[in-house]
Amino acid sequence: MLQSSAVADYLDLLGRELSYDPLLSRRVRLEVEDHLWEAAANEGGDAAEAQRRTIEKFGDPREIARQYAALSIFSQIRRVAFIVVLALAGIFLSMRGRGAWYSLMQWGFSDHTQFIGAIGMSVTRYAFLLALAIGLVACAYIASRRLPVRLHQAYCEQIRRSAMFCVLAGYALLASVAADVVLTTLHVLGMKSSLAALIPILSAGVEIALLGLLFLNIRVAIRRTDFVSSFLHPPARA
Amino acid sequence: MLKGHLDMIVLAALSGGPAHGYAVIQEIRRRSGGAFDLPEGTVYPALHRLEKTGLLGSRWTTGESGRQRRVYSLTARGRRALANHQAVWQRFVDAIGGMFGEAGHAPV
Repeated sequence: MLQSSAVADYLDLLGRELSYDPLLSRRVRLEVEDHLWEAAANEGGDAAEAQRRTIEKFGDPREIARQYAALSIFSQIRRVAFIVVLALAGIFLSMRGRGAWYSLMQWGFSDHTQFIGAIGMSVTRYAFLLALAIGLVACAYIASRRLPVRLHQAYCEQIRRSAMFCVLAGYALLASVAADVVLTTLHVLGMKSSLAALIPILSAGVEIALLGLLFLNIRVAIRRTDFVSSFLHPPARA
Repeated sequence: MLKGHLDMIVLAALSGGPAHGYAVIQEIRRRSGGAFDLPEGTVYPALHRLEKTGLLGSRWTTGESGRQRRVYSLTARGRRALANHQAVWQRFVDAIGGMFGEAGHAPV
């Protein structure tokens, strides 16, 4: 029991150091576990001593976690860029599809809601165009970033800037979707068939889900960047 | 000594065929005659980074021990990158060799 604990303890420690990226942590743990057991078996001699030497050769877990930091925030911000494109495309298709559905069902605004409807449509359109413009700038900026060999302060700043672009695109998209939800509500309230009303309600739900996914991933990117920045400022020794 | 050259060394170690992390480290040690005895844990971030940049591909397999292991191999881009590294390195070696050669014949 004691013999197997050195490797297990080391893996736990490495897992904790990599906790800023749970997916990466799981993959690294699996890979390193295989490595450590194979290396310990090849060391020969006393098993506990072989494990100790193997772990020593493998290196400091914090240093290994630090070396993964740039890769982790690079992957996350690329994921965010992908979700920005996905959200823009998904919301655009959803809005167009809903518009086509209204035309098919011949559902327009009533006299009371005509004015609000016109304002809502303008807000939806222009906010979406703004989100599209900022989103494209954000994706171009992210695509032009190269993965550095080692994490450095300037790279963290680039990732934060990328995230800020995505936040701005997300807010513009939020304004567009919010106005669109108001329009959908006005349409649904005026509908006679409750079953046909499910289409616009579901499509609005898809838009909200895409926005939620976007903001969730931006949050992960920002928090992870803040966390890995601590690797650049090692705690002062007492 | 290895700083800045780890990517090239890892790519070179994989030029013989697919291998998992531990085998890559063994290959680096063998080919360098034990001169490159780097902290083993530093190879994994390099492998992951090279995979992310498209120079390596990888897949999970099950080892003889029954444990899961990740096997890496060079992609076509990785082979081209390795060939470029080798050409640059050879020019550097030739240039340094020339410098030492000339130093032997320096005018008095």
